Amino acid sequence: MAGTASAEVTLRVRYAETDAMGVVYHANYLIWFEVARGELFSQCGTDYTHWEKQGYYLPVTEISARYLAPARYSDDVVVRAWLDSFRSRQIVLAYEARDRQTGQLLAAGKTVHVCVNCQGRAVPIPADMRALFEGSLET
Amino acid sequence: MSDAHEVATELRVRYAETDAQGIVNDANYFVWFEVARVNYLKALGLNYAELERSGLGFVIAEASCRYYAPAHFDEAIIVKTWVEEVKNRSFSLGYQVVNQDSGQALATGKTVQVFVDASGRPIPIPAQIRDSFARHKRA
Repeated sequence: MAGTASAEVTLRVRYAETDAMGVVYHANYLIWFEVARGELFSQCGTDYTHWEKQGYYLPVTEISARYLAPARYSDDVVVRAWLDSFRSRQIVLAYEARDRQTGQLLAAGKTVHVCVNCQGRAVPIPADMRALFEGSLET
Repeated sequence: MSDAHEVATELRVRYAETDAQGIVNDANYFVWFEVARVNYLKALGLNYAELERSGLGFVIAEASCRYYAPAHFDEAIIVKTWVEEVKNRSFSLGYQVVNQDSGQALATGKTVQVFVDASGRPIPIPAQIRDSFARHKRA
């Protein structure tokens, strides 16, 4: 199967992302997931912006995250995103964040996206987008 | 101590919470849940800041959200919060985000919190707090 199975970004924890407990605030992982998601689109060959220009949007309709260990200021964190599954109007992406040095799993998550047009109506994922995803399905 | 099993927290959408789609970014709902959570605990007579000063706290082990409809800048929002489950070391809270003017449900969510000591080790929920959660649990 051709294409990229997953995309990875390495982020260095910013002070602004930590909270009073000295660890990365849980909501910030969702933003890291988004960064990895953007990278996945790029690696599949088309930036997410391209699809918005074509009139297709993939808003997040569901999100979940499990937090296993904390990340701290200045840690290097590798965030990986991959395609979990897709249906005619919906795609599910999966994520994990690991400490780059130790390889320890810090958090894992999923997002569900529904393809909508500019009126906000759910529409089938266009064939060319589908083809990119099909090439990137992790087996 | 209030007997209410559901506590409503009022918010107004800040511009900083919106994204390029003109709607509140998905990650910010977790911050709203935090505001609602702290408020909920206060309604039960538990001040989280004081709890941490006493050497206890809790961390988020899991968080999830389903998004039904978007929220926009300056809209009045209510986040309803309730106890969903109480275990030995963890408890779950449920949330519903509602547009105050239209009454429309925008999102529902859940977080799982694990009690920890000052060094971050999981500990049983203090009996008094667990009893209070159990008493206020939504049927």
